[in-house]
Amino acid sequence: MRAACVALLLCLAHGLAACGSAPPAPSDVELRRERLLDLNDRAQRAVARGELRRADALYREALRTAESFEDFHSIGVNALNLAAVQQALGETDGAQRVLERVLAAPDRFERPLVAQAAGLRAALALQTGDLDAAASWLKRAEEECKPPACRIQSALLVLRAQLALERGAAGEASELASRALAASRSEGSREEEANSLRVGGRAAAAQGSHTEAIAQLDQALAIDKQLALPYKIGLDLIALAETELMRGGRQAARGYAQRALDVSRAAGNRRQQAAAARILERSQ
Amino acid sequence: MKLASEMKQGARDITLASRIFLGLGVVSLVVAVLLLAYNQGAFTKHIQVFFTAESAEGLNNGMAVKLVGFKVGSVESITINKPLRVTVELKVDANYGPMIDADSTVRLVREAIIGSNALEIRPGSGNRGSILDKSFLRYEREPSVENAVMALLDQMVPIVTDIRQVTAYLSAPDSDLRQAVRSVNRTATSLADASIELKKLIETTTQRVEQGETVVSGVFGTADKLLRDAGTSLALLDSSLKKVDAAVPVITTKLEQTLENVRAASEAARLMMAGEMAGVVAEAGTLVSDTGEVVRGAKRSWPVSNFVHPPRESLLRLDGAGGVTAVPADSGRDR
Repeated sequence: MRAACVALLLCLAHGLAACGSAPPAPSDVELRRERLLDLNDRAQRAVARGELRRADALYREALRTAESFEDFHSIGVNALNLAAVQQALGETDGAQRVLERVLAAPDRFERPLVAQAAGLRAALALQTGDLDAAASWLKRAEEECKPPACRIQSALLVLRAQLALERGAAGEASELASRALAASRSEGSREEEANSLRVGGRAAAAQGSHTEAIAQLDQALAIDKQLALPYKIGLDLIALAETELMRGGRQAARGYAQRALDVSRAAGNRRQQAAAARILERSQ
Repeated sequence: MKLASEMKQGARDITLASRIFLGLGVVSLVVAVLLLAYNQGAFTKHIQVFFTAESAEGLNNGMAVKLVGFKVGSVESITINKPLRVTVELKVDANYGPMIDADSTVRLVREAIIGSNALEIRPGSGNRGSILDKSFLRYEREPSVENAVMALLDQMVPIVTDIRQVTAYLSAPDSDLRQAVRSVNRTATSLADASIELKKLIETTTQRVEQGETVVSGVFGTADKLLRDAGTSLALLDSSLKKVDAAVPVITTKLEQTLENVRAASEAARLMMAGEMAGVVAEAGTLVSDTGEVVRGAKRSWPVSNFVHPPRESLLRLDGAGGVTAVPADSGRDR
């Protein structure tokens, strides 16, 4: 009995000593991985605060760190993040170069990452007005995006709707926007819901259904305001101003354009400021 | 019977064992107390050393007294005297007495950036031998970074003022220098005009002389007038140059003073950067690194590790409108 008690005490002491002992020293790879996660985390917080320049620098460093020990998952994630931030900053050339790291060697990365890279490339091509390239990259993104691992279907539908709208096929754009709206609601993505409504509203305006367009754009604006996304709020207000201008409501158009100008000034988005200023001129 | 004797023997054993245990406990306690007392310097011979300071700020009872980084004593007491001076009594290990010069100074220093304060004994010249019991040492405070920065600022202020004054003087439209320069410009223009006129006159004179005409006297009259104009211009130039001459030494002196101030300030800045600031920055770097190590270690240790979720990589999701939204990137690992 006594021996059993002593053995039990020894076990307990041993267990406590094991729990209280110093953890083993992390290996070099673990340290690099910790640094990588830290950089990614800080960059994400910078994005949330709207400090895109800082996020750009942090993602760049994270990408460099991931490349230093060939962690392809992290290389893909941080390359996509860096490209998205550069796209938001309007640096399309830089974003395209970064995406090449994933798109040039797609076998090294998971398919959802490749799909997102292709989708981002399509968005960049749309931004620069290269509609053929946008269609080609969008096709590749749709081929790579296989649910459930890939969860960007609604974003790809929104991009396809935008492409149709840019090509003048407002009817097709409207139909695609409706599908995107349904997909975003099933995915639970409020951002894409607002995007779908915005593209749908613009398509409706292009077809002459101004009242329907205003209703959809108002809904998009309400969601974007809930999510506090200045860039999207600016897009909604510009779309509303253009729709009002189309139906002859110069006064209302001026109001929306002025609001868009204020929002874009506060957010420091020069491209949007210029767009809002152009509408203000046209509505005089 | 046998059982009873075995029980008695057992009880005796237990009694003996408990006495031994108790005895060992008491002995351990006494040894521990003695060791503690020894560690605290209870058996060490000490000497008393005093110094006076203007303020007791940063000084505490029990504060360590160090000599070249070794703890050689502690602050025994801090008292305030009649003429508002603070007398500090130090208790220094007598073994270190011969190593401390009688003209050493005591300095209040801080161990690392957020470390505690300590008193450091700085060696003297050694000419006055070692300290004895109840010696008095000189006390000085370590200049802090804040004070150094403030001193630098104090040096910079007159420089900026000087530069501003010189700039204002040079740019003032009514200043002697500007007026003189304007006069020089005007005079130079007048001289240029006079020179052109003279050239024309000489050409005309040459022509007329060559032609043998007798209207030379008229020409000489014109030449006389022109020479008078030139004389006036030269007088004006002379007075302007005198003004410039008078103004330049003032400016030169001011510029020299300013440059000297700049040189002194930059030297102070350089010393600060090379000395205190470099140390501060290095210490800050080490501190941050050490803190990171400690936090990392704590996160990985039980039981903290159970409450800290490992960080996850996040991916900015593709946005149909070009916005950026972060989501966890948990979709598997690389191939």
